Amino acid sequence: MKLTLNSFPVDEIKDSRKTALDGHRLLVNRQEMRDLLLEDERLISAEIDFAHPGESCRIINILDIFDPRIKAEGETFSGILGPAKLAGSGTTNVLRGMSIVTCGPLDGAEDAFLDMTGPCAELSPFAGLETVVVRLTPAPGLDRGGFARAAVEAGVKASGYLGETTRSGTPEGSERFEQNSLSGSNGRDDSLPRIAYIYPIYSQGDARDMLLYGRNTRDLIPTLIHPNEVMDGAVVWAGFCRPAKNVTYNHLNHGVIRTLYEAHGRSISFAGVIVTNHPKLFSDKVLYAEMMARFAADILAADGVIVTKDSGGQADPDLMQICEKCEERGVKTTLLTMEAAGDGGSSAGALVDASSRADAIVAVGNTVEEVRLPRMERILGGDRLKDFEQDPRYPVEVCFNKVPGAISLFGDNRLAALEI
Amino acid sequence: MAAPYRVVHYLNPFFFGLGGEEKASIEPTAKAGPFGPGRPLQEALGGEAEIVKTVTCGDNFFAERAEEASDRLLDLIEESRPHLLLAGPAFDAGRYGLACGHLCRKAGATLNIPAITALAPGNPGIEHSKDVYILSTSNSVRGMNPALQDMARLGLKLMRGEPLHSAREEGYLPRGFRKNFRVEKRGADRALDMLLAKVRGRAFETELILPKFDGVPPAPPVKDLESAKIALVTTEGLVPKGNPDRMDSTRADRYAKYRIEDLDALDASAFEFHHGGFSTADVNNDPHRAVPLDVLREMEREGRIGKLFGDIYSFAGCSTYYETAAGMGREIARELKGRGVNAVLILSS
Amino acid sequence: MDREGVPAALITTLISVAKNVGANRIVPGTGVPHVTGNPDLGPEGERALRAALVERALTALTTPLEEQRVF
Repeated sequence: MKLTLNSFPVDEIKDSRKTALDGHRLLVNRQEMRDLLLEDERLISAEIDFAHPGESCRIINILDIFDPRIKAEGETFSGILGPAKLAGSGTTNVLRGMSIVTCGPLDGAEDAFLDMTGPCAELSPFAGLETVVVRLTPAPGLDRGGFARAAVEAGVKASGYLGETTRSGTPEGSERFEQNSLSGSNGRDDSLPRIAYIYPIYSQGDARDMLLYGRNTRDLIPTLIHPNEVMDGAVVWAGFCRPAKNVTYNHLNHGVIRTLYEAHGRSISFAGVIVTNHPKLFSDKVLYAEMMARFAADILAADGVIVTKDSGGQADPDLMQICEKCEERGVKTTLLTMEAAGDGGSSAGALVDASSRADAIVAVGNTVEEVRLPRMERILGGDRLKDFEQDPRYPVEVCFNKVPGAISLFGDNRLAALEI
Repeated sequence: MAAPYRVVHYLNPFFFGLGGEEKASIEPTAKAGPFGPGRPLQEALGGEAEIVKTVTCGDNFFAERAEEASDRLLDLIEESRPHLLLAGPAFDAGRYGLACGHLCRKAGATLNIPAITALAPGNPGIEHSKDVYILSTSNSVRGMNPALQDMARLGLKLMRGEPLHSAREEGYLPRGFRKNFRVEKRGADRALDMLLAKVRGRAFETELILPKFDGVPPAPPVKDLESAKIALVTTEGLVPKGNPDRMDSTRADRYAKYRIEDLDALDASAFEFHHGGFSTADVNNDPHRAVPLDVLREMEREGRIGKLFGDIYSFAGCSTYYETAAGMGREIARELKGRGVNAVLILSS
Repeated sequence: MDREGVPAALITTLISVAKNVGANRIVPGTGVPHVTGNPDLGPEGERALRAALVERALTALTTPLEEQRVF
């Protein structure tokens, strides 16, 4: 499977009568974009605004973050707007240096804060991107599930609409991702350690879902997918309850997958990706772990696996079971996880479960450490905060896990929780 | 030029220069200025800080009367209004190390000044506490010079109020707390490096050591269910509809008590669940999916159990700090015991 | 609870967590979002299910123990 990602850098976004890409400047006809999104009758408004790095601007009521992209042939985000087709090959143009943030008043979603300057800018890579903010309002009487679905589709449409500006353009950079056989090493050095990736994508129902090819993963049992499928939009976030978790942008530009691809043929053989849900029942957590250990050991012939998680404390037992079952089969494990340290950052209870075999952990950040965000002059995405009874412009003390991108479950950024 | 920071240095009588084992029982004493290793320590501190006093106490005196010794020493220390307390280095000396550790912890906690000591691995004086910084030394006094340099370096940083890096970077032992830092490598790269080291059988260092919790011996069983009083506790965030007490759905720091005395069942129109860690749709539709009150009432009527306690204790166990939960648990347990409750049923996701 | 001498039975889905934190009397529940329920069973099935779970919890409370046990 071969996927080519072409880069079109953007460093400025402006209003214009015609949507087009002019060098590094993205021109947007906001009315036209709005009309496109409002073809969906579940929405009664879709306000479009631009936020720029360095601006005193706070984006709130965040639902998801995309990058704009278009495939030369076929649909990105397969399965969302039409029938699902196998993703992961062909050519895709991506506008880099910018993002699309969808916002809206979804019931049950926690607050998320993205300030384009100040402490947020140091914490979150998203604050350094030219941003198109799409503020959605549901039609009266629309239920939560309906609004969540409409929001997903709006994000996908927005991504395609802006991505279209690259259709006949010339990219400034190009990356090729090729891996033809999950169990082979592309004819390269067979003596390299074989490393696989265990990738939970968690659906809990009730507008707390991840989508794989457009459908929720509630009943997903462990299976194999090609890393290109993830990089080509097969996985979309619809789990809006905790907006600062992995947004769609994070799955598209997946830190672990990109790292393994980069090392492929040099220090490792990238053996493949195992995808799964975090199941509800404890006995299923054990079962899935055993299945995944078998895939890793017997089918991918992996020497080691990197394991991430897609939920909070209730995914910790999954991590521990995966560690135990893999290590028992001789497959070494390393976990990437955030933590919820105790009072004042105390180490007790950083994860809720423990196993002596979970001895290699990369700690990407303490989610409950607080950061003080200063006053911001401009608010986009909504009018009111959910968990704070104050003017959204005012200074506010928030946990790291309320800032999208601050803590990256895929190890995208340079944060670590360390002992002090 | 600003006046130098004031430092007090604690040494045992041997290092102070008063003598060896025969001085192991001497009382807390102080003298102005630096003594023994305090002199090269003063040099390491330079002109920015001054060791204004050196205090000492016999290792045996401290071992036998730790509270009295530390109280008296703290009085002597406090007189000088220091910005920093330095103790040792004690290397692998057990009684000396215990004294250094104990004194520093108390100073850190009560005088509100940074306190630093330096001990070799395995010294019984090592106890993780946020009130003291313990630098790691070699086992023997041959490591005296580097130990003093480290004490001076860290001491100056603390007095100046400079932000510290991680414990590892700064050279002291983790105190049991964690903080977010920007580091050189991305998490994904750190993960691959760590995994490759593990696969190759090379040494690696985990970024998180999972704690082990102490077990508690099981309480004796209920002897007679038919006359037992049973209390209910839920960590699912049960609240009356509308959450009138504004209970938190995450990082709860308090619990609520709701009267169930007159209730035969939990009505979905009267109760809901407020918990950030899982979807509450199912339990909101039927609260008995989290708290089986209907079944318990039936058992009460049939005489299978004696009586349900009149209140249910509720909080949302989502990212609740371990210590907070333990504290709430202790409080609830004592209250229930005092009210003659024989057993508890805890409902948790 | 155990420290105060009051026996406690914990009904939870996350058994390994319960073991890790030292709970002594552990009864496995039927799912994180519905520890004493199962929406797929229908009202009668669910009632029977929770009666069974409570029975197990009562058994746990009346069983003498030396160490942790999952009932």
